[in-house]
Amino acid sequence: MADQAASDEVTNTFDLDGVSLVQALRDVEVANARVIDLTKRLTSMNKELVKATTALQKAQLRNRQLDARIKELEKIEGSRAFRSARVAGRLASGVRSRLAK
Amino acid sequence: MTSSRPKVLLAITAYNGEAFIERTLDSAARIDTSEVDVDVVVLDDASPAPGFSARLAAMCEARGIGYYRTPRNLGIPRNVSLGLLAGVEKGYDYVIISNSDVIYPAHVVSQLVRAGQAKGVGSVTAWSNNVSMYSLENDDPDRYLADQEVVDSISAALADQYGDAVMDIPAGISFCVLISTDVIRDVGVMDPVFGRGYCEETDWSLRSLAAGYRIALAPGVFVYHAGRGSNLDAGLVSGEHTSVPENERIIDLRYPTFRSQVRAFASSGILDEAQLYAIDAIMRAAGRESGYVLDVGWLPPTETQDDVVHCTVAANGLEETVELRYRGFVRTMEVDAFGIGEALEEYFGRAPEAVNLHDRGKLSSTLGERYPALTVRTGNYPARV
Repeated sequence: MADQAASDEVTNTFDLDGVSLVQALRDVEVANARVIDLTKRLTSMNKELVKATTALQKAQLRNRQLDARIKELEKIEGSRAFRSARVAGRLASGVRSRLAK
Repeated sequence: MTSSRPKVLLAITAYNGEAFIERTLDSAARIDTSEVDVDVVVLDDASPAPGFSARLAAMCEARGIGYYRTPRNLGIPRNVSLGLLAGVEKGYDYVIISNSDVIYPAHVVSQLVRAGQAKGVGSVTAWSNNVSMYSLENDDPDRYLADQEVVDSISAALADQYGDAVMDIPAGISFCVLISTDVIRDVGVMDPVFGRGYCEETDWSLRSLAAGYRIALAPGVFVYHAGRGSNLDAGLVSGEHTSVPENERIIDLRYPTFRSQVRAFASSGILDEAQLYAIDAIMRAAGRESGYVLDVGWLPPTETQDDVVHCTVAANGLEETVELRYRGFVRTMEVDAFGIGEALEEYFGRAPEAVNLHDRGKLSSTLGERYPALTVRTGNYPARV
């Protein structure tokens, strides 16, 4: 503790207190301005982020709905009734073309 | 500039570092002032080591060096800014910002000022064993180079080679950098956004470049730099890291092309060539001044005299190279092995001090015959398997 006290009590032979104080005040001003600027940019980027996230969520929701419809269609395509209807349709069109001749 | 003799403030930034700072102060106190007026000040950034500041203040007083302890710790960028502002406010022409773990050659200030007077130059970094990518490679700088006389002689050799030439570099390094106070007024000081330090000088350099100033390295002046002393002490960087990643990210954000510019500079070959000529100049000067020893063997000798250049050549003469070693610097020269005696005499301007035959071979015999009085057979079994 005594040594630490000695450190604190050293005599400066080159006076820079004034220069140091002026620069410290400038640094504080700049630091404050930077905080304000950063806060503005942070809030505006946050708004953008919320917007983008909302758009993304909507797109994901639509995507899920489309996926569900695709699955439904695939199910229909794979059913026996659909296959029978497709065969019947082919036969009917064959008959129609023969009758036309 | 108001006077013909430039007025220079050497601001040494300090944060603890009892192990090395006295050596730096001794070195600063003997800087040659025949061409320049130099004031030295230590900016003690509220070093927390018990009693250190009082001892540092006493060391400064004993050497006629100014001392200023900040009321509280500022961090490197703001402490450096204090040095820059002191130079501006107190009417100096130039400020040199320096670390506290260095050894200056006597001519450091006059050499840096001359380089700083080159057209368009805004800042000049001294050359060193430890100055980021520009370093002059050395096997063990702390062992071989941390000595005032050695630093003086290496720097003198580089001054002979390069004079007051400057080399444009991508960014300056504030371990020992000279900046004109006019440029400080124009570009400003270090940005405190870099917190406790690292990358602030890169940012400052790039701001100075944007303002139209050249960023230069003075190859004609060599300052020994132990490196990272205070920052390791302060826990700013850890043992394996050489920078602060978050500060590097700020540089990437502000200057997206900086890294590619550094890569382009590194691959341009300018630096490699400068380093090659520098080591060549150091070797030649050391050999001329203190002599050289020819070691004939398969491997460099394990025990060497630090003050002479050791030239190792293979015993059979089939390898057309000779490896020169001096205080941790290494240079490989291409020679006709059987004309090596003449080649080295021409290179160093004198005969060798000794010829040590470590291994037998045709070249060993030839050299033994050429220098019978100097030859000593020192080997036993072949060094190479």
